This record gives sequence, C-alpha cells and structure tokens, in this order.
Amino acid sequence: MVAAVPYVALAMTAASAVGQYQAGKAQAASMEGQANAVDAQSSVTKLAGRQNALQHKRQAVASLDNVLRAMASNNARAGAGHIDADSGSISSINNEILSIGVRDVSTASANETITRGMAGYQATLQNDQAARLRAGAPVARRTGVFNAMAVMGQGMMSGAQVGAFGSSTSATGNVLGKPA
Amino acid sequence: MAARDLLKPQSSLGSVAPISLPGVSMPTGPDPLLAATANMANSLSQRIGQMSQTMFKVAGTQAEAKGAAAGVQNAPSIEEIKWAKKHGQSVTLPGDAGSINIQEQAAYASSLKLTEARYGSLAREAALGEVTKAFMSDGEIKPDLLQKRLNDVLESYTGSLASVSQAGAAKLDIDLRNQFNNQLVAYSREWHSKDTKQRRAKAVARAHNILPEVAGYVVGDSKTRQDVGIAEHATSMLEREVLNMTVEGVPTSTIEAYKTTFQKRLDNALITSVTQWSQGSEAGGPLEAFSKLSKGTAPEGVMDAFESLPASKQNTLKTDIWAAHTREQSIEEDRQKVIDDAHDAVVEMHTTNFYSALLTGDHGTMRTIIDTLTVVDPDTAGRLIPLLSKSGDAGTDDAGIVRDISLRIAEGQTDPTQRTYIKYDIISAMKDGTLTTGTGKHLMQNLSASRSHVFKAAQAELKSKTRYNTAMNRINPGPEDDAALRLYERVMAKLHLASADPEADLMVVVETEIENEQGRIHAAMVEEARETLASIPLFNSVEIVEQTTEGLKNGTIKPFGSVKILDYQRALRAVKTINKWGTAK
Repeated sequence: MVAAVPYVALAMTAASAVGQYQAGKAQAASMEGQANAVDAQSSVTKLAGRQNALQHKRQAVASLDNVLRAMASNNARAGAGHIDADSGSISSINNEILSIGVRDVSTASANETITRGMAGYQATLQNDQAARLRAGAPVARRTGVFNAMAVMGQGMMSGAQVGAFGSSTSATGNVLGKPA
Repeated sequence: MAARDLLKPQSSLGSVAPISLPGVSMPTGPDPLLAATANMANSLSQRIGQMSQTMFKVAGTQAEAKGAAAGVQNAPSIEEIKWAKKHGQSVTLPGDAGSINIQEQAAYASSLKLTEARYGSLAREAALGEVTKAFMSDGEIKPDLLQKRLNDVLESYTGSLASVSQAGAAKLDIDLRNQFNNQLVAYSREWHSKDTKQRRAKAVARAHNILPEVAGYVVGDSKTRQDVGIAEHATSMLEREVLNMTVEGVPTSTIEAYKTTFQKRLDNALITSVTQWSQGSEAGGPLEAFSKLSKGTAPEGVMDAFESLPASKQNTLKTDIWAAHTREQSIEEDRQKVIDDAHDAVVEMHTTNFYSALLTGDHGTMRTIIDTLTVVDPDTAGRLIPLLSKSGDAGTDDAGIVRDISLRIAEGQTDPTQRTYIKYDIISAMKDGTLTTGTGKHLMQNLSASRSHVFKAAQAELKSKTRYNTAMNRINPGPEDDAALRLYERVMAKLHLASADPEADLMVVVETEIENEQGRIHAAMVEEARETLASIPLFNSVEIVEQTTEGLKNGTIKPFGSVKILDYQRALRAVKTINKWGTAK
C-alpha cells in the first residue's frame, strides 16, 4: 500500500490534467457562444437605433404640423377680420411661426442622425466584442491544454521526487582510500 | 372647418408613429451550461490535484524517512572517521545532496548530520583529553599551551570535515570554538588562581625564611660591643621581600604583618645588642650606659643600633637599663640595711653590757666596750665615756680626744706615718692628763689591733684594681670579667696567707700578687679559648673567624641563622681572648 501511493498520486494527477483540458475546452465553447450572442445583440442595437431615429423624424413632422396649424389659424383669423394675411403683422407672425417650425424640424432631423449614428457605433462595439470572444476561444482551449500539461509535469516532478519512477539510495558512506 | 380641410394633408403625415420596439436584450454572458462544465472540470481538476499533492506529500515523507534511515545506516563510522583523519583521507557520504529525489537528499542530509555529530563527538573527546591532561598537570601546562592544543584539535577535525561539508565544518568550528573557549576560560581561571596562590605562598614563605636571619643582620663584637650596628642589607632585604610580595599580590595585611614581625625581630636583636653592651665592662655599668646612650656618647656602632630603634623602644630600652641600675642600687641598699641593722644590734648589745658593767663597777669591761663602740659607733661611745669617768674610774678622759683618736684608728689610718702620729697623740694626751692611763693603754692596743683594717684596706684595694664589683654585678659577664674574678680569688687567697704575718705590708702583697697572677690567669684563659675554638666545627681557627667577621662587615657573607650565629659569637669571643692575651696560632 505504501509503495502504491506515488502511483495513485500520478494517476490522480493525470485525471486532474484531463479536468484542466476539459475546463479549457468548455471555456472556449462558452466564449464562442458569447460571441454569437453579442453579434445578435449588435443586430438588435442597429434595429433599435433605426426605430429611435424614426421617433425623431416623427417629432419633426409633428412640429411642421403645428406650424401649419398655427399659420392656418392666423390666416383664418385674419380673413375673418378682413385682414390681409400675407402682409403686415399677420405675415410677420406667420413667418416667425414658420421659422420656429423650421428650427424644430432641423433639430429633430439632427437628433435622428445622432441616434442612428450612436446605434451604429454601439453595434460596431458589440461586433468587435464578439470578434474578441471568438478570438479568445481557441486561447482558452489551448490554456486548458497547457494547464493539463503543467499539472502532468508537476505530477511527474513530484513523482520523481518521491521515487515513483524507481529510486534507491545511490551510495553508501565510506572512506576514500581505506583498505577494504 | 375650412381650416381643418386645408390642414388635412399635413395632418396625415404624423398619423403613423414608428413602432416602439420592446426592450430586446440578448444574453451576452457566458453560456451557463458551458460555464458550469468549465467550472466543474476546473474544480474537479483542482480537487484531484490537491489529493495528488497530499499523496505526494505523504510519499515524500515516506521517502524522506527511508532516505534518512539509509543515510544513518550507511554513514561513515567513528572508526572510519578516525582512520580518515589519521591518514589525511576524505570520507564520502551516502545519498546525493544535488538529487531531485527526496530519499537521496534525506540520506545525504542524515548521514551528513550524523557525520558532523561524530566529528564533533571525536573532537570534544580529544579536547576533553587535552583539558584533563592540563588539569592533571598540576599547573605545568599553561593556558596558552592548552589553547594551542585545543586549536590543533579544532583545526584537525574541522579541516577533515571540510572535505565533506564546508558548511558543516564551519558550523562545527563555531560550536567547538565556543565550547573549547569555555573550557579554556575555566582552566585559565583555575590555573591563574592556583598560580597566583602559589606565587603568593612562595613569596610569603621566602620572606619568612629570612626571618631567623634577622638577628644576624645586627653585627658586632660580642665582647666589646664596640662595633655593634645593622648590616646595611637588613633594610634592603626587608624592602626586597616587601616588593616581591607586593608584586605577587600578597594582601596588604599580610605584608604589614610581615613588616611588623621583621621589624620586631630586628628591634629585638638591636635591643639585645645594646643591652649586652650596657652590661659589659666597656659601658661602665648600667648607670653609665644609660648616661652614654642619653648623651649620645656611647660607641658609634652602639649608637647606630640604638638610634635605629623606634623612639618608643629606645625609651623602653633606656628604662630597662635604668631598672638594672635601680636593681643594683636596691641590692646595695638592702645590703646596707642589713649592715645597719647588725650595727644597731651590736651597738645595743654593747650599750646593754656597758650599763651592766657600770652597775657592777667593772671598769675594764666598760673601757673595752667603749673602745669597741668607738670603732662601731663613735657617737654612742662619746655618750658613754662620761659615765665611765663618773663611775669612779681613775683619772678623767677627755671625751673629745678619745673620740678623735678612736675615729682615726677606726678609719683605717694604717699609714706608718699616721700610725706614729696616733701613737704620739695618745702618749701626749696621757701626759697631759686628758687621757687616763687605762684609756691610753686601750687606745694603743686598738691601734695595734687595727691591722684588720689594714686587711680590709688591702682587700678594697684588690677589689678596685681587679674591678671585682663590676665583674660580679655584670649579668652577662665577659672574658675580662672572668679574668677579674679569677684574679681576685687568687690574690685574696695570697692576702689571707700574708695577713698571718704581722709585719707584712698587705698593700704591697696585693700589688705584687696581682702582677704575678694576672699573667698566669691570662695564659690559662688563652689556653681554654683555644680549646673552645677547636671544638666549634665551622669556626675552628682564628683566621676563619676573622675572615668571617670581615665578610659580615663588608657584606660579602650573608648573615647566619640563629644557631650558627651563636657558634660564631662563641668563636669570636674565643678569638678575642686569644688575640688579647695570647699568640694567634
């Protein structure tokens, strides 16, 4: 039993090495799966960006709608009062309302552009992360292999220390030159 | 309504709002299954690794124990180490210190440890032998020699071990060096303690060995005491011994006690010398000696000796000499008292007889008594003479004349001329009627009988010329005293013989016999001195004694011990006698 201890320890070392290999392999698979998920998330991000951009576009249209409403109201009030809507103060007011509307449309348009750009940028980052995860997978796999080899190496070393590969005291004490 | 219509186309543009997407969020973290698989595999691997490490550890312990046992079993034996050291060889150890194998390492380590211990044991054994030898040597092995031997032991064993293990040799060197140093310090302390005690004891013994010789430092002529003095080296000897004891660390109290003893002995010798001088003829008696010492007129050597004494002892010595004088005086007073008592008794007896004769009218007896009392006690005789006249005696005596003539006879007027004058005075007084015939006849008879006074005068002259009294009273008489006493006895015998002849002149007899007998006595004493000298083995000739005396004076001869000094003094006395009265042969 005493003599078998080194060999049992060696066998367990081999099992530990296999575990390390498997752990690396699973880590690699996990990282590839993560990469795919991040890619998918990137597509969603792009889609969400487009949807947000449409919201800003809709705000521009609503703004123009309000301008038209306001100008129409003014024109109607001017007509009811027999006032020329195309001149004078009415015209000035309408022009002012129109300029506000134009400014809102411009702002909404800029917001649409920014939102679309940010979504695209986010998607690009996610794509990059996915690429990194994919690149890391083989590294994790190799790490598992190396860990397994290290464990085995360590086990071999320990085995050698305890004489698992054969050992006996190499020499006996004597006195050089002493007649036998 | 119209406005609403007009606005219709614009209003239709905002009627369709973009779809509001639900919050779609993709799971971007690690796949749970795969993560669990990886964790499980990793954890399992670590667990199994720990188990294997534990088992390796157990196996390592087993290998270490096995290697240690093998190392101990196969380590060089003490005999092998002794042989290797003796032949300058190196020993090899089992195992391999450079091996990865624990068993090999343990074998080497245990054998090295055992070998180091064996080297240490052998070195300690050898050192113990050296230390034991040193202790048994009774101080012959000095600490520096023991140190050298211990160093040899140390270097030989550490040097031999160094061929196996430099580190072990260095460690052994430190261990043994500390231990040997402690042993060396202990031995050194004991050695120095013993050495110091021995040196102190030797110094004290040496100093005490010269104490019996101290009396010999006081040199001088035992007879005359004229050159009594202290040999110069007495003080230097004391200083030398004190210095020696001081250097050797003898306690101050011991040195002081020694100095006291030395000084006491020296003082005693000086006192003895001065005392002997004071009792000698040269001093002229204790009173004269006292006076000379007080005035500083004693001989130079005696004064040197006397002045070498402390003031208190000088006083004591003078007191003793004075006491000797007082004793002499006391003896004389006692003697005088006896004489006086006898005189009083004689006077009383004659007075009683006179009164008895007065009652019976015996004038002859009364005159005889008066004659006797005139010699013994003239005053009483003077008082009784008138009673004789009143008692009916024929004629009348002049008491003053009777008294005067009786005194002149009693005082020893023995000179022939004086005797003639006395006779003339008696006859004249009888013719003048101041003396009765009977009284005159009695006075004439007394004058004739006064020859006893002549004898006494001759005896006194003899005593004076021979210095009889001085010789008799000397406590420690010398040869001259002996000679004086012998001379007195011889001449006294001749004087007795001569006194039988009424016509003999006793004074002439004294002078003649002194001259005749002195030479004979001196010759006899010289002969005796020669015999004495011949009987003293170390000083049996005049030359030897004189050379010795000269050597003692100039310091070329060391003073003698107490026994030898007595022989020397006897011999010196004999030589003085020979040189004084004989011929040195």
